[in-house]
Amino acid sequence: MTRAGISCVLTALLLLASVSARADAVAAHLNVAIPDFGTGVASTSTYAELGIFPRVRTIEAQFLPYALRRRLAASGDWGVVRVVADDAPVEELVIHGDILRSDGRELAIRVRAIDASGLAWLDETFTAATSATAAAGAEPAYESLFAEVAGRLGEALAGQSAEHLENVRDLALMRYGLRLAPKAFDQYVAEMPDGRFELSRLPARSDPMLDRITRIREAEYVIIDAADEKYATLHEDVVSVYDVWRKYSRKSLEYEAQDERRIADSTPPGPRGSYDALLHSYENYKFSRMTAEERDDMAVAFDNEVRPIVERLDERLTAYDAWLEGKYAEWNRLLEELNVLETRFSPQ
Amino acid sequence: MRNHSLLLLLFSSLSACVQQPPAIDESMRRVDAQLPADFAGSWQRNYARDDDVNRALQQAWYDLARATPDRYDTTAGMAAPSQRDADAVVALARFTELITRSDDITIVQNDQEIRVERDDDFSLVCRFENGMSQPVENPGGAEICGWDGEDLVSQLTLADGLTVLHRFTISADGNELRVVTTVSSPTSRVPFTLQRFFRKFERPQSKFHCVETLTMKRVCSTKAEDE
Repeated sequence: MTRAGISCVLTALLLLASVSARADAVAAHLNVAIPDFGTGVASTSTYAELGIFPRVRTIEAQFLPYALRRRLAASGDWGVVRVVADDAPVEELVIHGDILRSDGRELAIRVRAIDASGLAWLDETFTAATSATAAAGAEPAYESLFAEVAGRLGEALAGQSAEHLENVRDLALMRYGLRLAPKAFDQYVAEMPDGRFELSRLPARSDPMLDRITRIREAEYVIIDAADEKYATLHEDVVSVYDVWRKYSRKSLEYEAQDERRIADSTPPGPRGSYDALLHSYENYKFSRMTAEERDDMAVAFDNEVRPIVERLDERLTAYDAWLEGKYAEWNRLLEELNVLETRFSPQ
Repeated sequence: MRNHSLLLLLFSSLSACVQQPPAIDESMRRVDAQLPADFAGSWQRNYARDDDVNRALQQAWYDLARATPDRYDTTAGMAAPSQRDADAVVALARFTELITRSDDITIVQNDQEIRVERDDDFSLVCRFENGMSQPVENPGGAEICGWDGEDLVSQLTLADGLTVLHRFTISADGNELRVVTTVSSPTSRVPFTLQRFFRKFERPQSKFHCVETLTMKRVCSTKAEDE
């Protein structure tokens, strides 16, 4: 072999080694699913009850997961990070968020990260405050909050053993199989009394049922990724409006606090019972009420602007859900039939 | 003397027309099924039927005389209240006239809420949840509403004890609305009451359909609302 030939082979080997190393690294990364966040309010509640506009909170619950997804994806610590419409997805790591407070001044989100074995990696409430003097174009509060979440998740990931991560990956696939073909997969997964999952054993690598489940999951990922793209569009379309809304909410709360102080400190301009004193009392109430009306109008304005975008997203997600639901039923039936055939087990 | 008797008769009949509205108790706040009356629509002031403020003031003075007969000599003619009482009633009258000055009002009503939108003033809101009207509160006071038969009654209590009570009554044909506003204050021996009448009218339809947005403010299109 000539030197050029040897060099060529070496280059090819190095290239292969590099591709293989990259594949291993990617394989070592866990896939993450982030369902819509919990709103923390009933959709039938009113602003008067909780000081929260339920409609705005619903939009936030769909909008914020994508911001977390983007942050996690950018960290490079994870495999594929997807925002999913399914509120109980089976994935290697699932991150649940519950919005506890979001008023433009402070954002508080409870974040729970649970892996496929049922182990909670993180269950913490994160808060971020928006500075009243934040410069225009400054990073929104939720970005710094999610940066902290990403950091904490990265620490939690570093604390897991390679063996556990491997186990989590296998469990995710087995639990996915269990969902679609319970009779074929219940032998591999055991649910413990504390809600955790354990691998009983693994099917053979050449098991045709395993191959089918793997392929079905890949097909489902295609649909989920299409839904994920819709979340990305929602995020892009809503981000500027949401930014205005957060600033407005913060200002509104500041005005309310100022108003309370003003009413407490103010003295009537005339003797008690005089026209001026009566008017002063009425104007105090009127000012607060009109401020509240303005706040309500702004919430309606936010909804007016964002609703068409969210409706488009909901429409697409509903279509994907319907398609998946139909497919699940079909896959479930086919897999169970195949399992009967392959194990020569007759339910009769 | 004859004139004085006629005046008394007139005041008595006025007094019967504008009875003191009841305070809102729990039974008035409760609604079991549908709201008892429908006030929805645009309403324009009918000045011809409105109370004259000066006559309402005279009525208040007369009420004052009746409330404290030992302090007033009504046999000599018109009751003559003390300067302090007179000032208090006049203040109430001026105040009532001011807060009832809206030329037209719009009432939006659904199963859960009645919203009375007024020019240059906050909207009176009567919201029902689980069959009960809900108070609206802020540091300056509190508003509560209820039903007295088919009359909607809204009571605003302000921090210094000033109370504003609006009673909405709709005519049988649904085309006329009477709003009786009674203002009382701990500083006045008698409340002050003023009636305003409104006629229903159709607000001209705009060629544009407009919605408020956050980033683009008001956005209008020529599209009809139901398209």
